[in-house]
Amino acid sequence: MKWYVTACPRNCYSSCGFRVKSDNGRIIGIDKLSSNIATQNGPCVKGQSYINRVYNPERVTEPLLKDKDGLFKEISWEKAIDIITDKINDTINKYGSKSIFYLAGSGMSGILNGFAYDFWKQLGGVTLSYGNLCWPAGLEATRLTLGDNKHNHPWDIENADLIILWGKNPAETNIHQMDFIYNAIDKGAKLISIDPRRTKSSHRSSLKLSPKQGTDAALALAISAELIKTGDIDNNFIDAHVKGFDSFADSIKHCSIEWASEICDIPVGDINSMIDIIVNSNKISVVPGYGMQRYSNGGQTIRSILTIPIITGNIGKSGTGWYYANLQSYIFDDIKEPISYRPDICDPDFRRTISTPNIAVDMINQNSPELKIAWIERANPLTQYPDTNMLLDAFQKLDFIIVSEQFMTDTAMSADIVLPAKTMFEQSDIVSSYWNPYIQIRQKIIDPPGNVKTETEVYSLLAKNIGLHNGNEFLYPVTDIQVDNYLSSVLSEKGIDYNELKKAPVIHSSVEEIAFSDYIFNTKSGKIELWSDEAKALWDVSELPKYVPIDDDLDYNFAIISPNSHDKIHSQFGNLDIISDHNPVPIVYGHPDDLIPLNIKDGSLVRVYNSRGEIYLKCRYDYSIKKGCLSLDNGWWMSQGASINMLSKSGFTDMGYGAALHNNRVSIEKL
Amino acid sequence: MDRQFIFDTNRCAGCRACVVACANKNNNANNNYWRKVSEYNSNNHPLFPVFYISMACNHCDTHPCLTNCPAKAYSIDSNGAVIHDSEKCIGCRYCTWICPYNAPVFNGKTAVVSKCTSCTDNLFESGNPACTEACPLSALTYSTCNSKKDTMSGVTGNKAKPNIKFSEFKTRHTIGNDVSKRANRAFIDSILKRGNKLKEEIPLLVFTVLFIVIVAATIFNTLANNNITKSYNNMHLFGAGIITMLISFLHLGKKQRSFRAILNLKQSWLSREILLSGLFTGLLFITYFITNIIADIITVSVGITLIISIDMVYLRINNKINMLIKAGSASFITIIITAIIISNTISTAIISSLASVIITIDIIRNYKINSKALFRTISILSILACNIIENNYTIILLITFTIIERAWFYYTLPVLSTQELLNKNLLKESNKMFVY
Repeated sequence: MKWYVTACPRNCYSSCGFRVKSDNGRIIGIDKLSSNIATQNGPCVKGQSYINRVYNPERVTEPLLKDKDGLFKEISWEKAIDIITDKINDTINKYGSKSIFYLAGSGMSGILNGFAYDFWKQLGGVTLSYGNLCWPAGLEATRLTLGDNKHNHPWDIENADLIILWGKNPAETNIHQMDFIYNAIDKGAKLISIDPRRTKSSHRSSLKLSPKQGTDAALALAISAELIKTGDIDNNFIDAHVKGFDSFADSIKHCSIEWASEICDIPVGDINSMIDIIVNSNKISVVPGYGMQRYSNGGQTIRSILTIPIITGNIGKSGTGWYYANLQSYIFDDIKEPISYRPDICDPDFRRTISTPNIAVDMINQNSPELKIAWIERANPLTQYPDTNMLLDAFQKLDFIIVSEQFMTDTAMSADIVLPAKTMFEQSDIVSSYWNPYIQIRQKIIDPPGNVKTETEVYSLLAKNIGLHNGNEFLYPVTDIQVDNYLSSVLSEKGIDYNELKKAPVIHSSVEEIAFSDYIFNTKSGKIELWSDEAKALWDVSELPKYVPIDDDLDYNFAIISPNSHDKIHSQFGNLDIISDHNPVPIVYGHPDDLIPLNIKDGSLVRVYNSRGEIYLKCRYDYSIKKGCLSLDNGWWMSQGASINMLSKSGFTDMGYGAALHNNRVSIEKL
Repeated sequence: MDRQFIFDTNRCAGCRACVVACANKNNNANNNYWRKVSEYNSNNHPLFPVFYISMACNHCDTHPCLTNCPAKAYSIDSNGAVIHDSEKCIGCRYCTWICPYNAPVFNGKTAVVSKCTSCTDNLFESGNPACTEACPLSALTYSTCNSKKDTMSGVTGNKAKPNIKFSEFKTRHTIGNDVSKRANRAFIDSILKRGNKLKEEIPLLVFTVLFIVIVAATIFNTLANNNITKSYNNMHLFGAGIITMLISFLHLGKKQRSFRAILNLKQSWLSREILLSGLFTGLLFITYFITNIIADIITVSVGITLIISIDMVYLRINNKINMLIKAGSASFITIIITAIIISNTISTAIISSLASVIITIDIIRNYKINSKALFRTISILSILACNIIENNYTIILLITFTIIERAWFYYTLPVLSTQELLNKNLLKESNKMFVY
């Protein structure tokens, strides 16, 4: 028996370090890794479920080919590689390599993923997507304002005396942050939570506000306006480090508390209470979530909220700060997000013309050449991308779909060939995080079960079969030694010892414990930019943070939000029995005072619909949710009952090439 | 116990990492989880706080599971942990009813119970249970704790003396009430939803009702010895007893181990009930051949003790005396049936009227809780009907409604659990706060 240090590669704030016990090539235990201070108490429930995931009887462990009747049959790797080779060769001969669409998601992070691009480049370059589903509007808003996306070490939030959770629910999405928040509360800090739901993170808050969807900017600007009016701002900080304060102050003079109260549908008294708490706090940490920036006004919303810590001087000191994203551990990337999301950031051999927010329409509209083949890995677009019905149409138009997956997701079900994919324990790689500051390694601990092959091996086999291999047996790192050598050399370039990393995670020397403590801001002016010429130039939005109403489709009565829950990372984990035992079916929540008049009882089956689609599912009452708002967790598969993106809308956020898929309205009726 | 669970309600976020860690370590997934997370106010009513309690076995000092197990499947290990031995378990599920925290879990596949061992064979260097090692918020820990026992009202303040301590509950923000009266009524209804035990307990229902009838008939036989022609004899009753006992076997998970059911006569009313039912049935056989007043008296006495033991088995679950004076009570119904069989109009009238009054009071008292009191109302009417109609159908009618009442009893039998304790508290608070 042996313990291994590893790290979770999911698209998650926490990116936990943890330890795995293996016995005779089988994983038998999961335990905490205290040397990662950010996640010292051990992984969350999803991390604990990895044993169930790796050895799940429903895991795909053989290549599968869909037959004429639409049934999947196991085939050998030789056959799978031959079929794919023929398809690729044939398609390239007829239409050119750009008729192949390579779509990779955030399912498993690691630097070996980059070898896919090497393969597709050698093939002549294929079509890629730009933009991102997740967080670009907020990243871009933060970049335009502060110059960089970084924040203090996660545990520094314990030193705050006011923490504002603005649209973030760490108890479910970043539980390790909650540990530090509870420590802060135990030391006397106050917590304000702003969310349409009474989240699991809000139970110990001093104040809770529920603004209407898409109106957070109005609330933020009214608060800033009042703070400026009463002089409760840090003038020295503003004079030294902030550009455009005066014009900002002028531009929000009309943003009174009453104005915001009406727009946001929040009592005036609650806004006043929030201002009181802010005025009486010295060290404020603002923790925004990602949900509220997936609206058409998302970037401006984030810029508006960001004005509060800026004008009160809560940047660059312990206990303060803006916890949007901490990209300091992304040391292996030449171009960081959000700039990397731009369509023009692209090797010229590739065609990067499909936008993530409008993926379905863009796929359908590609021409010279049209799309013929899609290769999808680490992604489940049929549940996670907006407007599923339209995307299904786009998939219908394709000749051939190859999906690399661990389970038969909705996307895998649409494939012609499913390639069994490795789990995090079956190939070593490096894990960076956007919250904790560590560089971590996930080690190979077990051999892949059945006939699972790693992606680098699959690409090597294909390269060989197609004739790209230049005489090498493996074009990419495949064997354990090749992988170790590759990772070791990448790490040593950054001054990190691979073998040390196997014992404990490391913080790279470039990482600042207190972000911006040097007051150097990587903006055009070198200052914090409330006034941003770049915002106007790049995105054609106001130079100043501004509340821009979202366009509501008032044919439908309810806004619907799609929060992330503690037992899923997007569409991952929900299929595991150890998770679904406690959360078996999708449920839409709404306020009883909205639902009783529609004759919908607690537990009724309902139809939720709009012009884009409909879903049938169970409805439960939530007595604290914002009236006029429904909530269905993100990540349910269509095959599990109901996916939120059957209803969601394609469209861009105001900046960053993000998807405004939360601009979503529906109606609900009893079945 | 040297060490015990310490739970900080202020830190728990209800994430269930503890539940899955326990399943990883002890292989109890697939809905046989030993550890459960209960939620207070899971529907988020704005007037009440929301919090979570993670609990498995608290290895109670008085361990009612061990005391009441008929098969002696429970023991105490050297650390003071209450350990269940699946090899000795007969799968009667009595411990799952009697534990205040619903800690023992019956597994349909293995047909026996299993429960938390406090990870006596831990994988971890710390020697702590897997659940406590896994809590991302340090809400659940395991240690020696000599300080004053912190309690949580309604959860720890019971006779079982559980080995769990709670950190002092810090007041939580509630967010004011903008919920309509109509929605508040729906809220009360949602708290009241209960588990339905009826389906899986049909063998027990049949067992109880048949023995009530058999004992009543035996009493009648004995009393009516000389002046009424017997339409049935003790051999008929013996046959009925044997069938009844066979049916009760169906309830056991491990039928081949049924002999273990009488190992705990010293402490378990269930063991006594099982032994008495066997003894009683045997005596019916003997008294068929031996017509002897002493033998008859012994048989009737054993029968009455059996009926009392049946009630004691259920009384132990709830410790509430009003369980005895319901139509669902075996002793009570036996008395009424006996009275009717004897056809003593006056005694029937007195007893059944008394019964009606008691049951009516009970229903009025609990009406809010049991809004579906229809069954109860029908059973009163049936008992009252016995006063008016005097013929053989009365008994059939009465037995029918005894079955219904008894079924309702199983249907509403509270599954004691932490969630149930929290729900009760929430219901009490709601009734205080809501204005209708």
